[in-house]
Amino acid sequence: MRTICKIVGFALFYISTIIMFLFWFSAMTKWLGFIGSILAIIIAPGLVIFPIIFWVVEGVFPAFYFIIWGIGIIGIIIAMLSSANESRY
Amino acid sequence: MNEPTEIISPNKKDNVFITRIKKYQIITITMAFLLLYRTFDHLIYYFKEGNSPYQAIGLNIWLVLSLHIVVYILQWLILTWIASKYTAQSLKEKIYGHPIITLILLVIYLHELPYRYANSSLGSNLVGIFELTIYYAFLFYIYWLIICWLSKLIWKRQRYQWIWYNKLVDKLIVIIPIIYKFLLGIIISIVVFINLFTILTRITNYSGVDIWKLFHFN
Repeated sequence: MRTICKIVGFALFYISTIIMFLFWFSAMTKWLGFIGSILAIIIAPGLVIFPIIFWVVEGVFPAFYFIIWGIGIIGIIIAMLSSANESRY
Repeated sequence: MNEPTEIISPNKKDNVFITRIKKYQIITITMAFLLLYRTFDHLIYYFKEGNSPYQAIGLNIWLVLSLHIVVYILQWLILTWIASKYTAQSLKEKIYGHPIITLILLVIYLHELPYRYANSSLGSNLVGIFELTIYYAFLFYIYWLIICWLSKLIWKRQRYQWIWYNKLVDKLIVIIPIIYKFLLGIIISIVVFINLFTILTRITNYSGVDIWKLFHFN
């Protein structure tokens, strides 16, 4: 039961992270071309401040990005809860 | 010395359902997932379209859902009952004892699966493919048990024994539960992901304008 919960939690987290990275990668490539693609890989921690930059540059609030981020957070909570139960018993 | 001690009554027993749920967790999760998926699938279709495919043949949606739940609980009871008949060790010994039947049925099962997907309406989505795969795996397991029983009646002692086969069985017995748990977890997480995404987009009234802006250069 805990194994399945852990797999579900981590899978949600990784799927969300991959989609968020693809969103970030596409935006950087659109704005800066080939250099943007390289930069997107190098400065991947910029994923956190990226929504603000996107909002300023495109003039549209990146709701999609936050929805996916929210799902990732739900995933990590599920994984943490199942790991916490494991250490207790 | 005077510490209170917990007295456990030997007659204190769990409910048979709870005992089975605790003992066969993976079977329970699989069946619960499939039941929930099918139930919500029917309900969403009913509330979205205002009717159900079953109404066309004169059945009430609530009657169909109730039957659905009863059928899945019965399937779970049958699965757990059959699972209780063998331990991992006794199953392994049975597989060692019938190498030819096991290999032939395994090849037939793998050969049959694509045709089953193609001929069933369930074969068009991920959960349907998963359901068909485990349904036919269970069916072939029953065939295998029957054929093993018959062959034991006909041939009293084992004629063939291969070392490579025994080694392969040892490895598969360890690997298959891990792969199954992983696949089940991935399928559940994909379904949960899609449902969470749908719910969050409805709550936030997401219009998709950010994605549209990102992929349209003009």
